[in-house]
Amino acid sequence: MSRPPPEPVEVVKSRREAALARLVAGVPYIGFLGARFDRRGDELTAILPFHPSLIGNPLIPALHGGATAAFLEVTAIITLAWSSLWADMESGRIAPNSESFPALPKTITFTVDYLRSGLPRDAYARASVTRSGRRYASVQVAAWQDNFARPIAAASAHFLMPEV
Amino acid sequence: MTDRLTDAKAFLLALPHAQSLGMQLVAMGDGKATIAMPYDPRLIGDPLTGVLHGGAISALMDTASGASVLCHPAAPLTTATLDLRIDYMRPATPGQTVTAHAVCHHVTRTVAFIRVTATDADTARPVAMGTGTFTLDRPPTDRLTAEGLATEVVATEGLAIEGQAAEGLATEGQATERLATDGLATAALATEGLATEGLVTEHSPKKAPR
Repeated sequence: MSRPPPEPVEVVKSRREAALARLVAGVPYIGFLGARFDRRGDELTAILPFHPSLIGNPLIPALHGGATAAFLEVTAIITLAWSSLWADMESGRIAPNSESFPALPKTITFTVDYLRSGLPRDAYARASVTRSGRRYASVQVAAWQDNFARPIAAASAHFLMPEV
Repeated sequence: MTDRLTDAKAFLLALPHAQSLGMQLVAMGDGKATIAMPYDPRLIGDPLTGVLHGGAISALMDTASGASVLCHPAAPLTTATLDLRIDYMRPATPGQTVTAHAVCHHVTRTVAFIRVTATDADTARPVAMGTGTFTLDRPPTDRLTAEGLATEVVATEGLAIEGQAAEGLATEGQATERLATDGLATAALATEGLATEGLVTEHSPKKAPR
């Protein structure tokens, strides 16, 4: 009675990093915004480093509401795709750098509440998948800057899942 | 008004993020704004199809909505999005310009309500539609002519903004302050027969959320 030895940590990490990088690189718009993703296990935090082109009102100056919304939407989509990819990636059914990654979920509705004006500095966001079904998924996502407890915007979204 | 409109147009063109997305102002005036965003490969969401990312379309619709508020006859000084809900009906056809048309259909003292539609070349079938609310910062002179407007505050009461004021959002806090300073609010409420004791107390200066 013997268990297979656990995978070496480097193998696990490089597989997950490669899969996440492949997922993020698949969306040109994420590069346009300049957003990136931090990973701890299967948990993702999106980071939007400040850049002057993200400014809406130059007088205040504040982040453009559209940039904030786009950042939330990107975070929601990647988090949802990542969570639905996780089991297949971990079991080896999908290679981490595969060209045959499933298509991304499609946004059906996106509702964003602006809670505070976005300051000219880095923003962070985390999404949680409240329901992930075969066809539809619901995701909640919030973004913050200096204080996690003081979100600048929050959104709820529904997605159409890719057909398997 | 015309000066304000020119200011609003100049302001819109100066928005760095609108520029970086390649937005072009098509028309603006009387609470209506049309803004176009030419197709750009940098804004692709799904490389398999070349379809633009929803986030870029959200940003376009948000900008058009804000523009429609700024050019409303109420001539607000500034505006900011409170909330925006967008329904995506179909993917925008790759290669085509997406155009957002926003209408600011109602304003109160402090809040503007908008509807917005995004289309590509096939204008009969919208790509996305949205509704939203925006903050409204009126010029100082308007604040004193509040008699007719005070009743609108009653209508706004049920909105979520009130709750956010306690958390430090300026909008409703300012509104309460304006009501308190101009002293007309209570009178206006009373004449309209709406001034139940609860309403008046809630807007009294003592309870101003500060």
